Amino acid sequence: MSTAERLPAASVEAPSAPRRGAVLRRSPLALLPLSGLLAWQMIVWIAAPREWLLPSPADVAEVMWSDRGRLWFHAQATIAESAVGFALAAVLGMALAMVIAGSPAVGRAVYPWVVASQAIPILAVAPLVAIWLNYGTAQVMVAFVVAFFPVVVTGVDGLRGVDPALGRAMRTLGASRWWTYRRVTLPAALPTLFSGLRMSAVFAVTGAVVAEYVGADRGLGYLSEFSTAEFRTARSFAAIVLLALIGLAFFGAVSLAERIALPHRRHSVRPTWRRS
Amino acid sequence: MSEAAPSSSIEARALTLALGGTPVLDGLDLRVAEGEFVALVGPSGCGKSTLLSVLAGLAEPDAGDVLIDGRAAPGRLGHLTLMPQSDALMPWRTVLGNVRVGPLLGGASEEDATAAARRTLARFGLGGFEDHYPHALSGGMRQRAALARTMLGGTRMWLLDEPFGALDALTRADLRGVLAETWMRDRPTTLLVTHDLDEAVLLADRVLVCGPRPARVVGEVAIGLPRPRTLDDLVDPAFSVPRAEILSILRSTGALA
Repeated sequence: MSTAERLPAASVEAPSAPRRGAVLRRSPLALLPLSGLLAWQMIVWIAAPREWLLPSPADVAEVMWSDRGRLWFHAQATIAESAVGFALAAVLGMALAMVIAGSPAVGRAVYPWVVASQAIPILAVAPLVAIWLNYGTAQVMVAFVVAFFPVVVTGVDGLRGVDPALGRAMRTLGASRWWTYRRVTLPAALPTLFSGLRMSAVFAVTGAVVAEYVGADRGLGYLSEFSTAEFRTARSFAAIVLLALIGLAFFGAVSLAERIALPHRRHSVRPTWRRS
Repeated sequence: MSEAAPSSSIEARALTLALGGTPVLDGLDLRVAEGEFVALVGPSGCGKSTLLSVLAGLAEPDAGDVLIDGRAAPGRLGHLTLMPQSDALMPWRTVLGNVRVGPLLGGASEEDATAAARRTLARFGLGGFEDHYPHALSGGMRQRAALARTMLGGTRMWLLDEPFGALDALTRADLRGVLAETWMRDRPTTLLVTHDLDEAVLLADRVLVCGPRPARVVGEVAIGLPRPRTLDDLVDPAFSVPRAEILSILRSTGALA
């Protein structure tokens, strides 16, 4: 046996540990939104608008604490609607992507309709959905509709972009078509699919909120809408802040799932939590 | 498990295939005897990769037959291992996970497959890299892993499609050595597609020359030189003669000026 190739250790080791340095390097940018908040607070101090016109960040924070029970009640509704809508979109969107990518004939017949459905403004359709379906279901439905599209598109792209050499090599090793699809094609499509899932997760929250605006009896969208109508502007802001946090959390949850499902994207060596 | 699988002759008879109206194979005949190493050289795009797909059973010809041990072999897919130019390692699996696929598909237990993969990786100089993902390895190391996977494929019929074509010259020379050594150990029936004449002469018992598309075998040169052969042998007249012969056949097909 000829001598093994040796890589310099540095190029083999995973660039995993130095988290602290990364945070420090990012910190000036992390301060940007904070300075925005500060500017907002200053404007309120100097211009002193009526509170119902523009509450200060401190007012919003105060409401978030004092009215936390109500906010949490409505947040739970929005989280549940978004989560169910997103889950449906992920499962059904991936299923449709598999059908479209698997059969060019079905793809040509169905794909244009999926794309066309995105041209219909969801704001125009949401009131209709609210008439047809009861509270809760309508929100899930609208969340599902807006979250569905990115899953289908990235799912189809991911499946179509799989290097055929991978599957062909496995087939000559005796792998069945089904094994090759399940163990090669689907995993190979995952990185692309996850980009769509991350977008979908955030879209689902927006969809649920849109549907809450047009017809609901709970949810942060509903709370924000009637708080504005009652000139309880600080509470409306509080609901919006919570919505942003929920969107971030959904995005983060999908990103975390991606890291767990695709450790090779971030590691050079299989991480210990993946070893059996 | 490679001991159990028989090494068989591979034969193509009058293979004809058109892809999208373009004839790619035109009555192609070739035979690789049991345990023989045959190289197929020819101009780029002459249909060599298509030929390997047909031999492997990934595609069926329009006309002609593929015979294994002299018998028609319609169910041959999975009995000849194809090694493509791209290493075709699954990026989400570790080196070990990629290499042990063959034994697992062949029905080996997890423990046996893992043990066989570890042994082979160690022999290929990849000991210590079992838990690495392919992207963390150099091109040469990845191709070593792909070669290890081919070796553990459980078949003793290998179809190598320019396996070192994407590597730099030094790494290619190194991997040629690994391949030659592996082949001498196991003596699988091997068909190597390459457009590197040195590679063909160094590795093969016989070199077939393929004309421009549609592919037909237009000439054959036997390399009756002792093994093991090394890079130094290339300057030996015994090597330059068959090399010159291959070149002149290629010239006569119009593939070379």
